[in-house]
Amino acid sequence: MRISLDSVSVEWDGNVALNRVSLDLDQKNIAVIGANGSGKSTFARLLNGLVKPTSGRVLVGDTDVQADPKTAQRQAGFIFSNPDLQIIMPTVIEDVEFSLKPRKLGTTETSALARAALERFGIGGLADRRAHELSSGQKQLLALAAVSVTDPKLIIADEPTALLDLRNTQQVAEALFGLQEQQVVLVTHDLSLAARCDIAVRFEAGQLIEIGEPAEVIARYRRDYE
Amino acid sequence: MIGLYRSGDSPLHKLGPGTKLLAVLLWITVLSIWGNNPFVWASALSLAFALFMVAFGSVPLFLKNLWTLRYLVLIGLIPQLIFEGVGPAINNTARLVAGILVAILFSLTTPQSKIIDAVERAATPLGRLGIRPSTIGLSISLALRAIPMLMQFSSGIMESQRARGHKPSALTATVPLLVAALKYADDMSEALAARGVEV
Repeated sequence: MRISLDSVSVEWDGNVALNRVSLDLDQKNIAVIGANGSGKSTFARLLNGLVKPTSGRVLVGDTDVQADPKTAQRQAGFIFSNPDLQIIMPTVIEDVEFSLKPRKLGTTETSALARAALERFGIGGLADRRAHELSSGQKQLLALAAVSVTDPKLIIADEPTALLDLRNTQQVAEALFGLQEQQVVLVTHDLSLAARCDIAVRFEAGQLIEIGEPAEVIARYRRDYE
Repeated sequence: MIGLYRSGDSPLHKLGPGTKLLAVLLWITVLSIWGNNPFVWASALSLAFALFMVAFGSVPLFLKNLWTLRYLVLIGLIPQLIFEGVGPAINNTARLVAGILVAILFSLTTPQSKIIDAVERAATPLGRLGIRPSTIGLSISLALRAIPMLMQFSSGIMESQRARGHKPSALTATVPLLVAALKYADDMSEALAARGVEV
């Protein structure tokens, strides 16, 4: 799916979070890197309408995100760095089923789809566990299952491994890179994950600095801070 | 209701949430009116135990839930012993325990999502007044979900007080807890929007 930003700026309280950003991306896995406060998360939030541009236009596929935010949210699932914020229902299976509620499916079908999603991310055995008792990695996998169960075309993950240890980071990374049907926008400080993507986008101080081969973008990013 | 549900396929698990909720209300009404009769509360406690056995067949689970009521029993029992005497104190405490045990059993055998569905169905007439039943259901879910989160924030704040050499104090924890709760509410509203939830 094509992601296009046409001279997009985002400002609030006199601060410029993104400044006249234009880009076109259609790669499967897209890394977004940059320092804290560079505009990465604002860029990610623009893609499903969580943040509205002050000026410019955001297109995801054929959808103008500002004009049709409902479609934008349906086609793009969002994973936050803190999975606790995404869990709404008390048990694992109920939280995944919650995502399917707008579809008004029957109980059996809803349950089957939710269990299949949990199996896909290797946490089928945790279906009846209380969600807030899971480890951070398991919670993040639950967030992925809850988002992907609705079959979005795009998954936006905003620093999904920021709170995870190495083992959990690997689990979540495998789950994200293992997604067959979905395009992934991965906002991350973990440059080894960014290196595995098809393309990297770098922001600094609200400006789009560079788009290109992850290895080259990362190398220049490192050099700038050495 | 805070995620107490335990899966199972007992007749109590299979019973509809609306039926169970009505039964619990009826149970509590009976105990409120006639529960000071020792025969009634003793029968109610026995029946509560029998229902636990039907649902889970586990005496330890029954005792564990009974044990969770210990502070409530103490808080209820002591003033009544002082002001009302032994008989009424025992009668009132026993009927309270019998009532709560069945309410616990309700939440142990009913997934929260089913409870919320039942509440939403019951709230359907409110739609005519412009109140969306789904909003009521979601509010209940979020309120229940917030409890473990607030407990987590609270223990984190107390821990950081200890780490900085202070005695944990509820008074000084109030402001950071309030800030954390407001931030949580803000983040949760963003997460709900991201999941396409309309409120």
